[in-house]
Amino acid sequence: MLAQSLLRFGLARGAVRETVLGDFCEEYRHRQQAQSAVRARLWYWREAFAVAGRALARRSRVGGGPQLQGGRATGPLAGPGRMITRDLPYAVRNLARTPGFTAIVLLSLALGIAPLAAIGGFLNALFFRPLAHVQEPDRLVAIFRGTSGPASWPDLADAAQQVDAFEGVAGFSVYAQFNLTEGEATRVLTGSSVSPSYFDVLGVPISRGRGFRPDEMGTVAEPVAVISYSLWQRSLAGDPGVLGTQIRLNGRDHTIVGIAPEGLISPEQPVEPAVYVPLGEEWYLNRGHLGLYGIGRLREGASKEEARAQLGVLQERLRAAYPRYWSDEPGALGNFAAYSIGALRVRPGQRAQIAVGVALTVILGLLVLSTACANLGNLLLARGSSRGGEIAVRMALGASRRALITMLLVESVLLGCAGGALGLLGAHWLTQALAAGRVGPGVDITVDVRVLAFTAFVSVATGILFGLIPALRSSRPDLTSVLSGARTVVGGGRLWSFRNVLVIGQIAASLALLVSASVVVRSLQQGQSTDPGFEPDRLVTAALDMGQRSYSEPEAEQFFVELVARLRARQDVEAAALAIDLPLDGSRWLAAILPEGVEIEPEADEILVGENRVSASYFATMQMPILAGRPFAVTDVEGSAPVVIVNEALVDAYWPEGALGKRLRVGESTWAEIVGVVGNAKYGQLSEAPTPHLWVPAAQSFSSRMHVVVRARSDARAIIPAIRETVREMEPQLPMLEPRLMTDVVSESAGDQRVVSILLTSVGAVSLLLAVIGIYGVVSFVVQQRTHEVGVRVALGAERKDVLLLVLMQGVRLLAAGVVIGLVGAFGIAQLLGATFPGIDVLDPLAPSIGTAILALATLAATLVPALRASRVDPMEALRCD
Amino acid sequence: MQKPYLGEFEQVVLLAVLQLGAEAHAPAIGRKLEASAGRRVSRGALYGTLERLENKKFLRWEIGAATSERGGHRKRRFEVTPEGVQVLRDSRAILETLWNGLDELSSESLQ
Repeated sequence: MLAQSLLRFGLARGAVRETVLGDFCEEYRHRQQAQSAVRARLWYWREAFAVAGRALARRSRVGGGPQLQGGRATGPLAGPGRMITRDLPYAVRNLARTPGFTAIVLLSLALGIAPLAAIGGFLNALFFRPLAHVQEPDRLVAIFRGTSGPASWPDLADAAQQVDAFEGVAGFSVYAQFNLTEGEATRVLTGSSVSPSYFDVLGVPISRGRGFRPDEMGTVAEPVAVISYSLWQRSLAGDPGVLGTQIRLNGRDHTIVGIAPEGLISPEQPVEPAVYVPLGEEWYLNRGHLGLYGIGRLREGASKEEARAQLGVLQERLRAAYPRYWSDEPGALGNFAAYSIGALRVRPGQRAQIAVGVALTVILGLLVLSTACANLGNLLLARGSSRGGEIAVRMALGASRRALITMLLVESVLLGCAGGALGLLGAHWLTQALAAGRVGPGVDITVDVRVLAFTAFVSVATGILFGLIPALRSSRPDLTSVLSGARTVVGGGRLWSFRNVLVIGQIAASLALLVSASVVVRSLQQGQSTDPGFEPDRLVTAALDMGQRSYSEPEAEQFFVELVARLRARQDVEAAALAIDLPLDGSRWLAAILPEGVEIEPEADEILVGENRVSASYFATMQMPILAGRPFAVTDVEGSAPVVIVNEALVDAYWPEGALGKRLRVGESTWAEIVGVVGNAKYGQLSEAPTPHLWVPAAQSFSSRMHVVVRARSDARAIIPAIRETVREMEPQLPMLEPRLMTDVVSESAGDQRVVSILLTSVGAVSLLLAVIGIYGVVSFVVQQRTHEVGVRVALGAERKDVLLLVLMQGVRLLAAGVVIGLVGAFGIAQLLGATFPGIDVLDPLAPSIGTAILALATLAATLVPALRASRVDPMEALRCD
Repeated sequence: MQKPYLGEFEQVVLLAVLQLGAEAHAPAIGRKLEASAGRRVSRGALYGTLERLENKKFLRWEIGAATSERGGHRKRRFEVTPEGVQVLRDSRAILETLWNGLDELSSESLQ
């Protein structure tokens, strides 16, 4: 909670601080119950500000040196003292006197700084913040398969036993989803399945409760869980008595045995896992289930190189023992890789891509900030001109130019800092909103010293940079003309005046952002319109694990067959099937195959292809087209002739002349006949090239953990309760993961692009808003300055529409210049995007047109209001006023 | 030596601590004041006053146990010192002298 950090920051370290934090916690909870969460939150913020502010003020008085005594300046002070005692209060009073101006500036700055602060906090969390709580992180080594892929638990268990350089090795899954049932409600948590040694290897002692024991892995009668500190605080009210009680995860009661330390994140997942459970049955025996990231703790005195060499030896041993899982075909996962876990949590294979991503986000942040700064500069200039009288009087009375500039700068830096503080708040909300919408990596942006320093630097720099030119200008007025009340013609005339340049820059920046946003959105739409090779509409999937109810495999098989039959009997269900794996759901099953009649050199490695085990109705349910042969039949059961169905890509690779009737071997099993060929589909991700894949009948090789796939006749969402109900009728206690729509599975597989498009669109919208504020500000300021002139024009016979046109043209000229520059910038950003996401069409002509159209409409709207005001100027009024 | 002065807010805070006895920690004091005075008490002012009273040696505190309700943070329990009780007595005596005569005044003026 940010307000709590504020309080922590304000109060001096020590026992008193802890008690005050406790007081606040207590009162917050009290108010939450007595009043409402919102009011309690408001109360917390208000009081935290008050308490922290007072404490800070007191601390700075005590340790603040000789400058201030009793709040008054003692004698003539040098610069800094005068700034604090005289200019600062003056600036505060002055800004408070013009709340409209102050509000617009602060809003602009907050909007501008929030994204950059969020980006800074995000990068900080990703790259610079050391893993919290971890002891001796330099002895930790990350273990991967291939260059940076996950491994299986048997691989890692072998590494734990056979690699001497490691004191211990642990495996953990990332972004695992758990359903937490609280009463009637169920919510999804992100957690991690970990090997029992996880907390010890990581070097994170569990002070409340304990970690896992080795016998808690696999199939156990009484499952256990360790929960995160924040889950403990938020859902269980920080009750120390929760240890030993139960929580319901994925439909099964788990005993809470420990509470992880506050803010513990895993090395591969920067978001705090809410729950940890020991590796289940599906992990710990299956060498083909690649999904665990490994970490090893080096023995005292052992080096990373030793570990690497020993892992090399181990991988040769594993290759000899398990050729099915350890080929060394290029790109296949035939080796271990080990890297030290530094603060830089980037795997070597991703550096270039991440660098581009970082560059992109920082550029975006700076673009938004610069549009906000343009507003600040412009508004300060306008304010400077309207304060010309005051400044001239000051100068006439003997104020030095330097003192005036300092005065004006203090004001703009104050604005910058206040805007920065609001921006930090905005960044906090922004990331919370992103996390709540489960968009983005969900990194917890704790405001630590680095983020605070970064934001403070940006704010002060903004204040100085964009306050300086207005300050220089306004501190050099033409004394005689201002004091004598003569009018100066301001702006208006020249296109490239400082003020216009700022607005043109804003238009250009927001256009660049809008265009890049529409480029990504359009490429995303194209991605979604890519044919996945099956029909995801009206399809619902649910995962069921019969092993957890200690069903034997035949019992589980019987259960599943019965379940599918019952579902299919329903009126609203068109088809139903079983599969061990789902396309595009992020996991993959691989099988080593041996095609019959294909020449394979004895030295060559086995061929790894995607594998799925499915029931007879699978292809009909998924609507995957059978191109040749037949789908599986109900007669393809255990004991009947082994059969297999392959996809086009596999056929093209080995039997271009036709595959029906040919045979192949899957793993160590007997030869199976190819009875059917289906069209290529997307299995791993939407953008992949056609990949070889095969299917075997689930009935010939059963598993107790299956996905049920159901196609609804009309609305997929409507049959989710029916699925749940049917399962409950058959087995009331069966844990079931929340059924998902297949369309969601497909769109989540395009997650990264979706995040970027949301990011770009929101950033584009913010900067558009800023540009509109800027244009409105400039044009209405000019209109105000030219009221007299317009009055003269109208008096001399100009018509309303002439005046309207005169002002509108001002906006149009700014727009035209901005569009030209913005399009060039958009092209540059599109190139960067193209480098990050290969599927993006950088030269798509529609995107710039959409962007320009939106911008043009917004600019016209912003110009129209002041233009109409100008056209209604009453010449008598205009000429009479001063 | 000049007698230590007790402000109005300081006085009510001290009285609240006295009344609360063993329960006197900041949230309870705040709630008590809000309930009896019927207005919002800024926690900033409250903590400031508590600290001032402590500096004047009218209050002392001890750290108590942590509870889950407090997010695992410990509790600071306040207690009025004998000096504090004395200063309350003094100021009550002063006020009582000053209040003398008010009742007659108001009843006379009402007649």
